[in-house]
Amino acid sequence: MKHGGGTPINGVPLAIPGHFSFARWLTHRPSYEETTLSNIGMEKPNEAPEGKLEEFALIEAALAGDEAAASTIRCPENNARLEAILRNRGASDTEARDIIADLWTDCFDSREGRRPLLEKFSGKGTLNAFLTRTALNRLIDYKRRQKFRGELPGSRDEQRPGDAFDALPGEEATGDSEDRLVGLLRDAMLAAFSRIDPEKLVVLKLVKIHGIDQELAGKMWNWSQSKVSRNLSAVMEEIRAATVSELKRIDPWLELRWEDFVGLCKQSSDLFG
Amino acid sequence: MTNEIDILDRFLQQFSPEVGGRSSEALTSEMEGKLRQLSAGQLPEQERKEVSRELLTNQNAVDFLLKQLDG
Repeated sequence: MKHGGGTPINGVPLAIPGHFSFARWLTHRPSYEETTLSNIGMEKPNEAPEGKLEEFALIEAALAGDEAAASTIRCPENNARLEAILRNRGASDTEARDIIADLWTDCFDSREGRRPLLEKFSGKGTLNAFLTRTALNRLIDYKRRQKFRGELPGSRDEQRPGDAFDALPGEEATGDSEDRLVGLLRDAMLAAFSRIDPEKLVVLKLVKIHGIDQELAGKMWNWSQSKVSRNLSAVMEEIRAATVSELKRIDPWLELRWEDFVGLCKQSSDLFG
Repeated sequence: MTNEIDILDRFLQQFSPEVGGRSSEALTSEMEGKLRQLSAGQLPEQERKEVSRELLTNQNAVDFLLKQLDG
């Protein structure tokens, strides 16, 4: 462990550059019962520069070999939070534990020619959101590989959890602009939209996105304003139901709620926009 | 609700632009005529679906319609 003159934490002074405050990091105590992904920083992609600098300072210190900084990032609270998120989205206890254990290893170590995962943190969104998204991508990837292996002739006897986890790809294979989550969200949304009456969808877009008032939309479609209003509510509900149904069809094991879906869509646009 | 549909629309524009309404195909004069009819509330019901599909995929159609409504 490197020692320096920074803010003491647990009696250990740290060498963190700038105005880094461990207190702010440590005072974040997420509930493990969090029900939506929007509760874990995904809806705050543009954090204040000061907070961002703190995260970068922490990452820089951890990657430089500062054990205390690394321990702060992979603290038991963060570990439990990430495991809980995966369990709540369909991972078994073992899967959640193994995926997050691998995630922590990859955060700090170079393996098989790959850079440490934390070097890829761009600063768009919070570090929590970055870790959560990576964990979800890995869970999706693992489950799909597991299903694929299960469908291969003669592969059932070969299934061993260790093998499957060892086969998890790095984020290089996933690509930064087209990760598993983006593909899943897009496919589910397109399939859902294809089920919706195009007229209802257009009226929804004209009113909610282009700001056409309901009365005018009603005149164009020869609908009463109350019919327009009813349709707006109904079509949104249809989109929700169809999207969740599509998600289930694509990845039946995945427990992703509508709020998660919307949060992940927003985060994807913020991250890759 | 506004926020949600905005988020979904932005996502589709970004990750599936070909179906997110970003197509920039030029409108035929026939389609322009139908969009004028729609803006005036005079488009026959049986043609609204076709025009709706155009509005969902072609940004030029949306722009044209909005211009008719502004005028």
